[in-house]
Amino acid sequence: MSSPTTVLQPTGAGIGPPQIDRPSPVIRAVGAAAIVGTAVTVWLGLWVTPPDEFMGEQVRLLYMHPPVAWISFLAFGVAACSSALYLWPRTRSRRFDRLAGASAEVGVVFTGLTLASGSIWGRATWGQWWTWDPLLTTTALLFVLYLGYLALRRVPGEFDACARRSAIAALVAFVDVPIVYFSVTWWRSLHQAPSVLNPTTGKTYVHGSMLWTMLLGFVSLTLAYVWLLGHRYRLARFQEIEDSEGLEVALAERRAEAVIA
Amino acid sequence: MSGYVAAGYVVILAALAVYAISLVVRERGARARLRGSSTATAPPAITAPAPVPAQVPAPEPPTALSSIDLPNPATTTP
Amino acid sequence: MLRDAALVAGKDLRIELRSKVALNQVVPFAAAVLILFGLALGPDRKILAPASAGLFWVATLLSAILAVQRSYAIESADAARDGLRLSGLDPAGIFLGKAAAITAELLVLETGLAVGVVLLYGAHLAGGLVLLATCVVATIGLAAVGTLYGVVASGLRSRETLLPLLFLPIVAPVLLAATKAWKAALAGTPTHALGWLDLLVVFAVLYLAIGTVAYGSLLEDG
Repeated sequence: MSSPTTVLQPTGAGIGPPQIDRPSPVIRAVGAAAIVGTAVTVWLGLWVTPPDEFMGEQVRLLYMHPPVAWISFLAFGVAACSSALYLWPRTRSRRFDRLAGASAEVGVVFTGLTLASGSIWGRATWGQWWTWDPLLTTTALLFVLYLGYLALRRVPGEFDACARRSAIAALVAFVDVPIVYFSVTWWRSLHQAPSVLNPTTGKTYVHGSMLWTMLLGFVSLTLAYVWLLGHRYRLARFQEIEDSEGLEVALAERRAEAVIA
Repeated sequence: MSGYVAAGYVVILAALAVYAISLVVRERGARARLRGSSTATAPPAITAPAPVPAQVPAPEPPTALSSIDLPNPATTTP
Repeated sequence: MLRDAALVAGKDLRIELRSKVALNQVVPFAAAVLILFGLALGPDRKILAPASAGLFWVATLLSAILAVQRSYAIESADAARDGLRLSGLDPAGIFLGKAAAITAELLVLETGLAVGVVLLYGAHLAGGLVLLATCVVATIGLAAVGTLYGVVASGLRSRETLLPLLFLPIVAPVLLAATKAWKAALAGTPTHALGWLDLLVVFAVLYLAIGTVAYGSLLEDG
Protein backbone atom coordinates (compact mmCIF):
# COMPACT_ATOMS: atom_id res chain seq x y z
CA MET A 1 0.00 0.00 0.00
CA SER A 2 2.65 2.48 0.93
CA SER A 3 5.46 2.31 -1.58
CA PRO A 4 8.15 4.80 -2.57
CA THR A 5 6.44 5.49 -5.87
CA THR A 6 3.47 7.02 -4.08
CA VAL A 7 5.50 10.17 -3.74
CA LEU A 8 5.28 10.57 -7.49
CA GLN A 9 1.53 10.31 -7.74
CA PRO A 10 -0.19 13.46 -6.60
CA THR A 11 -3.67 12.18 -7.28
CA GLY A 12 -5.48 8.93 -7.55
CA ALA A 13 -4.62 5.67 -5.94
CA GLY A 14 -3.27 3.91 -8.95
CA ILE A 15 -1.06 4.09 -11.94
CA GLY A 16 -1.49 6.15 -15.01
CA PRO A 17 -2.39 9.76 -15.78
CA PRO A 18 -4.93 11.60 -13.63
CA GLN A 19 -8.57 11.10 -14.49
CA ILE A 20 -10.01 14.13 -16.19
CA ASP A 21 -13.37 12.58 -16.76
CA ARG A 22 -16.92 13.72 -17.11
CA PRO A 23 -19.14 13.86 -14.04
CA SER A 24 -20.30 10.42 -13.07
CA PRO A 25 -23.90 9.34 -13.71
CA VAL A 26 -24.59 9.41 -9.99
CA ILE A 27 -23.84 13.10 -9.78
CA ARG A 28 -25.92 13.83 -12.83
CA ALA A 29 -28.85 11.95 -11.37
CA VAL A 30 -28.51 13.82 -8.10
CA GLY A 31 -28.49 17.11 -9.97
CA ALA A 32 -31.55 16.21 -11.97
CA ALA A 33 -33.41 15.09 -8.87
CA ALA A 34 -32.43 18.31 -7.11
CA ILE A 35 -33.78 20.46 -9.93
CA VAL A 36 -37.02 18.52 -10.18
CA GLY A 37 -37.52 18.44 -6.44
CA THR A 38 -36.83 22.13 -6.04
CA ALA A 39 -39.14 23.03 -8.88
CA VAL A 40 -41.94 20.98 -7.33
CA THR A 41 -41.25 22.57 -3.94
CA VAL A 42 -41.46 26.04 -5.40
CA TRP A 43 -44.68 25.21 -7.22
CA LEU A 44 -46.23 23.68 -4.12
CA GLY A 45 -44.86 26.35 -1.87
CA LEU A 46 -45.97 29.34 -3.84
CA TRP A 47 -49.23 28.16 -5.32
CA VAL A 48 -50.63 24.94 -3.98
CA THR A 49 -50.25 25.20 -0.23
CA PRO A 50 -52.57 27.49 1.71
CA PRO A 51 -51.43 30.55 3.64
CA ASP A 52 -51.07 30.05 7.35
CA GLU A 53 -53.81 31.18 9.71
CA PHE A 54 -51.45 33.30 11.78
CA MET A 55 -48.48 34.10 9.59
CA GLY A 56 -50.32 34.52 6.33
CA GLU A 57 -48.30 34.43 3.18
CA GLN A 58 -44.95 34.59 4.99
CA VAL A 59 -45.20 30.98 5.97
CA ARG A 60 -44.26 30.09 2.40
CA LEU A 61 -40.67 30.90 3.28
CA LEU A 62 -40.85 27.95 5.67
CA TYR A 63 -40.29 25.72 2.68
CA MET A 64 -36.98 27.32 1.75
CA HIS A 65 -35.41 29.07 4.71
CA PRO A 66 -35.12 26.20 7.25
CA PRO A 67 -33.76 23.79 4.58
CA VAL A 68 -31.12 26.31 3.56
CA ALA A 69 -30.18 26.88 7.20
CA TRP A 70 -29.96 23.15 7.91
CA ILE A 71 -27.74 22.61 4.91
CA SER A 72 -25.28 25.27 6.01
CA PHE A 73 -24.86 23.44 9.33
CA LEU A 74 -24.61 20.14 7.50
CA ALA A 75 -21.96 21.51 5.17
CA PHE A 76 -19.80 22.77 8.01
CA GLY A 77 -20.29 19.49 9.84
CA VAL A 78 -19.07 17.64 6.78
CA ALA A 79 -16.10 19.99 6.57
CA ALA A 80 -15.28 19.39 10.24
CA CYS A 81 -15.55 15.59 9.97
CA SER A 82 -13.52 15.62 6.82
CA SER A 83 -10.88 17.74 8.50
CA ALA A 84 -10.77 15.34 11.43
CA LEU A 85 -10.32 12.45 9.03
CA TYR A 86 -7.48 14.27 7.38
CA LEU A 87 -5.75 14.88 10.70
CA TRP A 88 -6.13 11.28 11.82
CA PRO A 89 -3.00 9.58 10.50
CA ARG A 90 -4.70 6.38 9.40
CA THR A 91 -7.20 8.14 7.21
CA ARG A 92 -5.00 10.94 6.01
CA SER A 93 -5.74 11.58 2.37
CA ARG A 94 -5.87 14.51 0.01
CA ARG A 95 -9.50 13.65 -0.66
CA PHE A 96 -10.52 14.75 2.81
CA ASP A 97 -8.74 18.04 2.58
CA ARG A 98 -10.38 18.69 -0.77
CA LEU A 99 -13.75 17.67 0.61
CA ALA A 100 -13.39 19.95 3.60
CA GLY A 101 -12.56 22.93 1.44
CA ALA A 102 -15.34 22.19 -1.03
CA SER A 103 -17.94 21.67 1.68
CA ALA A 104 -16.89 24.84 3.48
CA GLU A 105 -17.27 26.90 0.34
CA VAL A 106 -20.70 25.51 -0.45
CA GLY A 107 -21.55 25.96 3.22
CA VAL A 108 -20.64 29.63 3.08
CA VAL A 109 -22.92 30.06 0.08
CA PHE A 110 -25.80 28.46 1.96
CA THR A 111 -25.03 30.44 5.10
CA GLY A 112 -25.24 33.63 3.11
CA LEU A 113 -28.58 32.48 1.74
CA THR A 114 -29.78 31.66 5.25
CA LEU A 115 -28.95 35.19 6.34
CA ALA A 116 -30.61 36.71 3.29
CA SER A 117 -33.80 34.65 3.51
CA GLY A 118 -33.95 35.02 7.29
CA SER A 119 -33.55 38.74 6.98
CA ILE A 120 -36.29 38.94 4.34
CA TRP A 121 -38.57 36.84 6.48
CA GLY A 122 -37.87 39.06 9.48
CA ARG A 123 -38.62 42.14 7.44
CA ALA A 124 -41.86 40.62 6.21
CA THR A 125 -42.98 39.48 9.64
CA TRP A 126 -41.58 42.01 12.07
CA GLY A 127 -40.82 44.96 9.84
CA GLN A 128 -37.11 44.87 10.61
CA TRP A 129 -34.30 43.58 8.46
CA TRP A 130 -32.38 42.31 11.46
CA THR A 131 -33.71 41.46 14.91
CA TRP A 132 -30.68 39.76 16.50
CA ASP A 133 -32.65 36.56 16.49
CA PRO A 134 -30.46 33.88 18.16
CA LEU A 135 -30.34 31.51 15.21
CA LEU A 136 -29.67 34.23 12.70
CA THR A 137 -27.02 35.83 14.86
CA THR A 138 -25.29 32.49 15.26
CA THR A 139 -25.51 32.09 11.50
CA ALA A 140 -23.96 35.51 10.98
CA LEU A 141 -21.01 34.56 13.17
CA LEU A 142 -20.77 31.25 11.36
CA PHE A 143 -20.61 33.14 8.08
CA VAL A 144 -17.68 35.23 9.20
CA LEU A 145 -15.96 32.26 10.85
CA TYR A 146 -15.94 30.27 7.66
CA LEU A 147 -15.03 33.18 5.46
CA GLY A 148 -11.92 33.29 7.62
CA TYR A 149 -11.42 29.58 7.06
CA LEU A 150 -11.65 30.03 3.31
CA ALA A 151 -9.18 32.90 3.49
CA LEU A 152 -6.77 30.68 5.39
CA ARG A 153 -7.09 27.97 2.75
CA ARG A 154 -6.13 30.40 0.03
CA VAL A 155 -2.78 31.21 1.59
CA PRO A 156 -0.18 29.42 -0.49
CA GLY A 157 2.20 26.92 0.99
CA GLU A 158 3.35 23.37 1.02
CA PHE A 159 0.39 21.05 0.71
CA ASP A 160 0.52 19.09 3.93
CA ALA A 161 1.18 22.17 6.06
CA CYS A 162 -1.72 24.01 4.43
CA ALA A 163 -4.02 21.05 4.79
CA ARG A 164 -3.15 20.49 8.43
CA ARG A 165 -3.60 24.07 9.52
CA SER A 166 -6.84 24.36 7.55
CA ALA A 167 -8.08 21.19 9.17
CA ILE A 168 -7.29 22.46 12.65
CA ALA A 169 -8.94 25.78 11.83
CA ALA A 170 -12.07 23.98 10.64
CA LEU A 171 -12.29 22.01 13.85
CA VAL A 172 -11.62 25.05 16.02
CA ALA A 173 -14.41 26.88 14.20
CA PHE A 174 -16.87 24.01 14.39
CA VAL A 175 -16.26 23.46 18.08
CA ASP A 176 -17.08 27.11 18.64
CA VAL A 177 -20.50 26.80 17.01
CA PRO A 178 -22.38 25.28 19.95
CA ILE A 179 -20.73 27.73 22.33
CA VAL A 180 -21.78 30.62 20.14
CA TYR A 181 -25.28 29.21 19.85
CA PHE A 182 -25.77 28.79 23.58
CA SER A 183 -24.33 32.13 24.48
CA VAL A 184 -26.36 34.02 21.88
CA THR A 185 -29.57 32.16 22.70
CA TRP A 186 -29.14 32.89 26.38
CA TRP A 187 -28.30 36.47 25.59
CA ARG A 188 -31.49 36.88 23.63
CA SER A 189 -33.69 34.96 26.02
CA LEU A 190 -33.09 37.72 28.52
CA HIS A 191 -34.89 40.09 26.20
CA GLN A 192 -37.77 38.02 24.84
CA ALA A 193 -36.85 38.77 21.28
CA PRO A 194 -39.15 38.02 18.40
CA SER A 195 -37.91 34.92 16.71
CA VAL A 196 -38.73 33.65 13.31
CA LEU A 197 -39.03 30.05 14.33
CA ASN A 198 -39.40 30.29 18.08
CA PRO A 199 -40.98 27.06 19.19
CA THR A 200 -42.40 28.53 22.37
CA THR A 201 -44.37 31.11 20.45
CA GLY A 202 -45.02 28.49 17.82
CA LYS A 203 -48.37 29.42 16.51
CA THR A 204 -47.55 27.85 13.22
CA TYR A 205 -48.67 24.28 13.17
CA VAL A 206 -47.08 22.67 10.21
CA HIS A 207 -49.42 20.01 8.96
CA GLY A 208 -50.82 18.42 5.88
CA SER A 209 -49.60 19.72 2.58
CA MET A 210 -47.38 22.24 4.33
CA LEU A 211 -45.46 19.50 6.09
CA TRP A 212 -44.90 17.52 2.94
CA THR A 213 -43.82 20.59 1.04
CA MET A 214 -41.34 21.46 3.73
CA LEU A 215 -39.95 17.93 3.74
CA LEU A 216 -39.66 18.03 -0.01
CA GLY A 217 -37.85 21.32 0.31
CA PHE A 218 -35.39 19.77 2.76
CA VAL A 219 -34.74 16.79 0.52
CA SER A 220 -34.43 18.75 -2.72
CA LEU A 221 -32.09 21.34 -1.34
CA THR A 222 -29.97 18.69 0.36
CA LEU A 223 -29.64 17.02 -3.02
CA ALA A 224 -28.68 20.36 -4.49
CA TYR A 225 -25.99 20.65 -1.81
CA VAL A 226 -24.66 17.21 -2.71
CA TRP A 227 -24.50 18.13 -6.38
CA LEU A 228 -22.76 21.43 -5.68
CA LEU A 229 -20.37 19.66 -3.31
CA GLY A 230 -19.53 17.05 -5.90
CA HIS A 231 -18.75 19.62 -8.54
CA ARG A 232 -16.80 21.86 -6.22
CA TYR A 233 -14.79 18.80 -5.20
CA ARG A 234 -14.09 17.96 -8.82
CA LEU A 235 -13.03 21.51 -9.47
CA ALA A 236 -10.63 21.32 -6.54
CA ARG A 237 -9.18 18.11 -7.90
CA PHE A 238 -8.67 19.60 -11.34
CA GLN A 239 -7.06 22.67 -9.86
CA GLU A 240 -4.65 20.49 -7.92
CA ILE A 241 -3.72 18.58 -11.05
CA GLU A 242 -3.35 21.82 -12.91
CA ASP A 243 -1.07 23.24 -10.26
CA SER A 244 1.19 20.23 -10.15
CA GLU A 245 1.25 19.88 -13.92
CA GLY A 246 1.87 23.56 -14.35
CA LEU A 247 4.93 23.13 -12.22
CA GLU A 248 6.13 20.25 -14.36
CA VAL A 249 5.63 22.23 -17.54
CA ALA A 250 7.69 25.04 -16.08
CA LEU A 251 10.40 22.63 -14.97
CA ALA A 252 10.47 20.98 -18.39
CA GLU A 253 10.81 24.36 -20.03
CA ARG A 254 13.67 25.33 -17.74
CA ARG A 255 15.42 22.06 -18.45
CA ALA A 256 14.93 22.57 -22.16
CA GLU A 257 16.58 25.96 -21.85
CA ALA A 258 19.57 24.42 -20.13
CA VAL A 259 20.00 21.86 -22.88
CA ILE A 260 19.95 24.43 -25.63
CA ALA A 261 22.56 26.52 -23.88
CA MET B 1 -46.83 40.95 1.70
CA SER B 2 -46.10 38.21 -0.76
CA GLY B 3 -43.61 40.48 -2.44
CA TYR B 4 -41.18 39.53 0.29
CA VAL B 5 -41.92 35.87 -0.18
CA ALA B 6 -41.22 36.16 -3.88
CA ALA B 7 -38.03 38.08 -3.12
CA GLY B 8 -36.91 35.34 -0.75
CA TYR B 9 -37.52 32.59 -3.29
CA VAL B 10 -35.86 34.53 -6.08
CA VAL B 11 -32.79 35.32 -4.01
CA ILE B 12 -32.28 31.72 -2.96
CA LEU B 13 -32.89 30.16 -6.34
CA ALA B 14 -30.99 32.76 -8.30
CA ALA B 15 -27.94 32.58 -6.03
CA LEU B 16 -27.86 28.80 -6.19
CA ALA B 17 -28.23 28.87 -9.95
CA VAL B 18 -25.45 31.42 -10.35
CA TYR B 19 -23.15 29.43 -8.11
CA ALA B 20 -23.95 26.19 -9.92
CA ILE B 21 -23.30 27.74 -13.30
CA SER B 22 -20.06 29.30 -12.15
CA LEU B 23 -18.88 25.92 -10.85
CA VAL B 24 -19.69 24.17 -14.09
CA VAL B 25 -18.00 26.86 -16.16
CA ARG B 26 -14.84 26.79 -14.06
CA GLU B 27 -14.79 23.03 -14.10
CA ARG B 28 -15.15 22.84 -17.86
CA GLY B 29 -12.42 25.42 -18.24
CA ALA B 30 -10.05 23.46 -16.03
CA ARG B 31 -10.81 20.25 -17.87
CA ALA B 32 -10.19 21.86 -21.24
CA ARG B 33 -6.89 23.28 -20.09
CA LEU B 34 -5.82 19.96 -18.62
CA ARG B 35 -6.73 18.03 -21.75
CA GLY B 36 -4.74 20.50 -23.78
CA SER B 37 -1.66 20.33 -21.61
CA SER B 38 -1.66 16.64 -20.82
CA THR B 39 -0.61 15.91 -24.39
CA ALA B 40 2.36 18.23 -23.96
CA THR B 41 3.80 16.87 -20.71
CA ALA B 42 4.83 13.42 -19.61
CA PRO B 43 2.31 11.68 -17.38
CA PRO B 44 2.84 12.74 -13.79
CA ALA B 45 3.30 9.15 -12.71
CA ILE B 46 6.81 9.26 -14.10
CA THR B 47 8.14 12.76 -13.69
CA ALA B 48 7.56 14.21 -10.27
CA PRO B 49 7.74 17.90 -9.49
CA ALA B 50 10.85 18.42 -7.43
CA PRO B 51 9.28 20.15 -4.44
CA VAL B 52 6.82 17.34 -3.79
CA PRO B 53 7.75 16.59 -0.20
CA ALA B 54 8.07 13.25 1.44
CA GLN B 55 5.07 14.13 3.54
CA VAL B 56 2.65 13.55 0.66
CA PRO B 57 0.05 11.28 2.18
CA ALA B 58 -0.08 7.60 1.36
CA PRO B 59 -2.32 6.63 -1.57
CA GLU B 60 -5.91 7.22 -0.81
CA PRO B 61 -7.87 4.17 0.20
CA PRO B 62 -11.08 3.69 -1.75
CA THR B 63 -13.75 5.86 -0.23
CA ALA B 64 -17.36 6.54 -0.86
CA LEU B 65 -16.24 9.33 -3.14
CA SER B 66 -14.93 6.88 -5.67
CA SER B 67 -18.28 7.19 -7.36
CA ILE B 68 -17.33 10.74 -8.27
CA ASP B 69 -13.78 9.90 -9.27
CA LEU B 70 -14.91 7.01 -11.39
CA PRO B 71 -12.54 6.73 -14.32
CA ASN B 72 -14.53 6.48 -17.50
CA PRO B 73 -12.03 5.97 -20.24
CA ALA B 74 -14.78 4.88 -22.56
CA THR B 75 -16.57 8.19 -22.24
CA THR B 76 -13.57 10.52 -22.08
CA THR B 77 -13.44 11.69 -25.63
CA PRO B 78 -12.31 13.25 -27.94
CA MET C 1 5.50 20.25 30.18
CA LEU C 2 4.75 22.77 32.89
CA ARG C 3 8.42 23.47 33.39
CA ASP C 4 8.78 24.23 29.70
CA ALA C 5 5.70 26.43 29.95
CA ALA C 6 7.23 28.37 32.82
CA LEU C 7 10.44 28.75 30.83
CA VAL C 8 8.71 30.11 27.77
CA ALA C 9 6.41 32.35 29.78
CA GLY C 10 9.37 33.72 31.68
CA LYS C 11 11.23 34.35 28.45
CA ASP C 12 8.33 36.20 26.86
CA LEU C 13 7.66 38.29 29.93
CA ARG C 14 11.32 39.15 30.35
CA ILE C 15 11.52 40.28 26.74
CA GLU C 16 8.48 42.42 27.35
CA LEU C 17 9.95 43.90 30.51
CA ARG C 18 13.09 44.83 28.65
CA SER C 19 11.59 46.07 25.42
CA LYS C 20 8.37 47.44 26.89
CA VAL C 21 6.65 47.24 23.53
CA ALA C 22 3.32 46.19 24.99
CA LEU C 23 3.54 49.02 27.47
CA ASN C 24 4.50 51.57 24.86
CA GLN C 25 2.21 50.44 22.10
CA VAL C 26 -0.63 48.21 23.19
CA VAL C 27 -1.66 50.25 26.22
CA PRO C 28 -1.86 53.52 24.28
CA PHE C 29 -3.75 51.65 21.59
CA ALA C 30 -6.31 50.53 24.15
CA ALA C 31 -6.57 54.06 25.49
CA ALA C 32 -7.09 55.35 21.97
CA VAL C 33 -9.86 52.81 21.44
CA LEU C 34 -11.62 53.96 24.60
CA ILE C 35 -11.36 57.57 23.52
CA LEU C 36 -12.64 56.77 20.04
CA PHE C 37 -15.63 54.97 21.49
CA GLY C 38 -16.28 58.03 23.59
CA LEU C 39 -16.17 60.21 20.51
CA ALA C 40 -18.42 57.87 18.58
CA LEU C 41 -21.07 57.42 21.21
CA GLY C 42 -21.20 60.98 22.36
CA PRO C 43 -20.25 62.78 25.54
CA ASP C 44 -23.53 61.90 27.20
CA ARG C 45 -22.63 59.66 30.10
CA LYS C 46 -26.13 58.33 30.15
CA ILE C 47 -25.19 56.41 27.01
CA LEU C 48 -21.58 55.65 27.84
CA ALA C 49 -21.89 54.44 31.41
CA PRO C 50 -24.31 51.58 30.70
CA ALA C 51 -22.20 50.62 27.71
CA SER C 52 -18.94 50.58 29.65
CA ALA C 53 -18.86 46.82 30.14
CA GLY C 54 -19.25 46.13 26.45
CA LEU C 55 -16.81 48.81 25.39
CA PHE C 56 -14.28 47.58 27.94
CA TRP C 57 -14.39 44.10 26.48
CA VAL C 58 -14.28 45.21 22.86
CA ALA C 59 -11.20 47.26 23.66
CA THR C 60 -9.71 44.22 25.37
CA LEU C 61 -10.45 42.00 22.38
CA LEU C 62 -8.83 44.40 19.95
CA SER C 63 -5.81 44.81 22.20
CA ALA C 64 -5.55 41.05 22.50
CA ILE C 65 -4.97 40.87 18.75
CA LEU C 66 -2.05 43.22 19.12
CA ALA C 67 -0.69 41.32 22.08
CA VAL C 68 -0.77 38.07 20.12
CA GLN C 69 0.88 39.64 17.12
CA ARG C 70 3.59 41.05 19.34
CA SER C 71 4.08 37.66 21.00
CA TYR C 72 4.81 36.11 17.64
CA ALA C 73 6.73 39.03 16.23
CA ILE C 74 9.44 38.40 18.77
CA GLU C 75 9.75 34.86 17.45
CA SER C 76 10.21 35.91 13.87
CA ALA C 77 13.37 37.87 14.55
CA ASP C 78 16.65 35.99 14.23
CA ALA C 79 14.87 32.76 13.33
CA ALA C 80 13.83 32.41 16.93
CA ARG C 81 10.94 30.26 15.83
CA ASP C 82 13.29 27.65 14.46
CA GLY C 83 15.21 27.86 17.69
CA LEU C 84 12.03 27.21 19.57
CA ARG C 85 11.24 24.19 17.44
CA LEU C 86 14.71 22.71 17.75
CA SER C 87 15.07 23.44 21.43
CA GLY C 88 13.41 20.19 22.39
CA LEU C 89 10.85 21.94 24.49
CA ASP C 90 7.48 20.24 24.70
CA PRO C 91 5.22 22.04 22.18
CA ALA C 92 2.32 21.87 24.60
CA GLY C 93 4.52 23.60 27.12
CA ILE C 94 5.45 26.28 24.59
CA PHE C 95 1.75 26.82 23.92
CA LEU C 96 0.87 27.14 27.59
CA GLY C 97 3.85 29.36 28.24
CA LYS C 98 3.06 31.79 25.47
CA ALA C 99 -0.60 31.82 26.42
CA ALA C 100 0.33 32.50 30.04
CA ALA C 101 2.56 35.40 29.05
CA ILE C 102 -0.18 36.92 26.90
CA THR C 103 -2.66 36.44 29.73
CA ALA C 104 -0.40 38.27 32.16
CA GLU C 105 0.12 41.16 29.78
CA LEU C 106 -3.58 41.44 29.03
CA LEU C 107 -4.54 41.36 32.70
CA VAL C 108 -2.25 44.29 33.36
CA LEU C 109 -3.82 46.05 30.40
CA GLU C 110 -7.31 45.36 31.66
CA THR C 111 -6.51 46.99 34.97
CA GLY C 112 -5.63 50.12 33.07
CA LEU C 113 -8.74 49.80 30.94
CA ALA C 114 -10.91 49.49 34.01
CA VAL C 115 -9.48 52.73 35.33
CA GLY C 116 -10.05 54.31 31.95
CA VAL C 117 -13.63 53.18 31.84
CA VAL C 118 -14.30 54.66 35.26
CA LEU C 119 -12.69 57.95 34.32
CA LEU C 120 -14.00 58.37 30.81
CA TYR C 121 -17.41 56.78 30.97
CA GLY C 122 -18.34 57.32 34.56
CA ALA C 123 -18.81 53.66 35.26
CA HIS C 124 -19.19 52.70 38.90
CA LEU C 125 -17.23 49.56 39.60
CA ALA C 126 -19.00 47.17 41.92
CA GLY C 127 -18.96 43.46 42.59
CA GLY C 128 -15.18 43.45 42.41
CA LEU C 129 -14.69 39.74 42.89
CA VAL C 130 -16.89 38.88 39.96
CA LEU C 131 -15.22 41.51 37.81
CA LEU C 132 -11.83 40.08 38.65
CA ALA C 133 -12.86 36.47 38.09
CA THR C 134 -14.43 37.34 34.77
CA CYS C 135 -11.29 39.13 33.68
CA VAL C 136 -9.06 36.22 34.56
CA VAL C 137 -11.12 33.48 32.97
CA ALA C 138 -12.08 35.43 29.86
CA THR C 139 -8.49 36.52 29.31
CA ILE C 140 -7.25 32.95 29.56
CA GLY C 141 -9.74 31.98 26.85
CA LEU C 142 -8.65 34.89 24.66
CA ALA C 143 -4.99 34.04 25.13
CA ALA C 144 -5.56 30.38 24.29
CA VAL C 145 -7.33 31.11 21.02
CA GLY C 146 -4.89 33.88 20.22
CA THR C 147 -1.83 31.73 20.79
CA LEU C 148 -3.34 28.96 18.70
CA TYR C 149 -4.24 31.15 15.76
CA GLY C 150 -1.15 33.24 16.23
CA VAL C 151 1.13 30.35 15.41
CA VAL C 152 -0.96 29.56 12.34
CA ALA C 153 -0.83 33.10 11.07
CA SER C 154 2.72 33.93 12.06
CA GLY C 155 4.31 31.85 9.36
CA LEU C 156 2.22 33.39 6.62
CA ARG C 157 2.68 36.50 4.61
CA SER C 158 -0.84 37.78 5.11
CA ARG C 159 -0.62 37.39 8.87
CA GLU C 160 -1.62 40.94 9.82
CA THR C 161 -5.01 40.70 8.17
CA LEU C 162 -5.56 37.00 8.70
CA LEU C 163 -5.16 36.91 12.47
CA PRO C 164 -7.94 39.39 13.30
CA LEU C 165 -10.28 37.72 10.82
CA LEU C 166 -9.67 34.30 12.33
CA PHE C 167 -9.56 35.44 15.93
CA LEU C 168 -12.54 37.74 16.40
CA PRO C 169 -15.43 35.49 15.34
CA ILE C 170 -14.15 32.63 17.50
CA VAL C 171 -13.98 34.76 20.64
CA ALA C 172 -17.39 36.38 20.09
CA PRO C 173 -18.90 34.23 22.88
CA VAL C 174 -16.19 35.47 25.24
CA LEU C 175 -17.16 39.05 24.46
CA LEU C 176 -20.79 38.23 25.02
CA ALA C 177 -20.34 36.33 28.26
CA ALA C 178 -17.76 38.67 29.77
CA THR C 179 -19.86 41.72 28.99
CA LYS C 180 -22.91 40.13 30.54
CA ALA C 181 -20.98 39.06 33.60
CA TRP C 182 -19.59 42.53 34.07
CA LYS C 183 -23.00 44.10 33.57
CA ALA C 184 -24.43 41.83 36.23
CA ALA C 185 -21.65 42.76 38.62
CA LEU C 186 -21.91 46.48 37.88
CA ALA C 187 -25.66 46.38 38.32
CA GLY C 188 -25.22 44.96 41.79
CA THR C 189 -26.50 41.49 41.00
CA PRO C 190 -23.29 39.50 40.82
CA THR C 191 -25.01 36.14 41.17
CA HIS C 192 -26.49 36.58 37.72
CA ALA C 193 -22.96 36.46 36.40
CA LEU C 194 -22.32 32.91 37.50
CA GLY C 195 -23.85 31.29 34.46
CA TRP C 196 -21.79 33.47 32.18
CA LEU C 197 -18.68 32.67 34.17
CA ASP C 198 -19.38 28.98 33.65
CA LEU C 199 -19.50 29.57 29.92
CA LEU C 200 -16.18 31.40 30.07
CA VAL C 201 -14.61 28.55 32.00
CA VAL C 202 -15.85 26.01 29.46
CA PHE C 203 -14.49 28.13 26.64
CA ALA C 204 -11.09 28.56 28.28
CA VAL C 205 -10.71 24.87 29.15
CA LEU C 206 -11.82 23.80 25.68
CA TYR C 207 -9.40 26.00 23.81
CA LEU C 208 -6.53 25.35 26.18
CA ALA C 209 -7.06 21.66 25.49
CA ILE C 210 -7.24 22.11 21.73
CA GLY C 211 -4.18 24.31 21.76
CA THR C 212 -2.18 21.89 23.84
CA VAL C 213 -2.91 19.08 21.44
CA ALA C 214 -2.64 20.92 18.16
CA TYR C 215 0.26 23.26 18.85
CA GLY C 216 2.99 20.79 18.07
CA SER C 217 1.95 20.12 14.53
CA LEU C 218 1.21 23.77 13.85
CA LEU C 219 4.60 24.87 15.15
CA GLU C 220 6.38 22.62 12.69
CA ASP C 221 4.82 24.16 9.62
CA GLY C 222 6.20 27.44 8.47
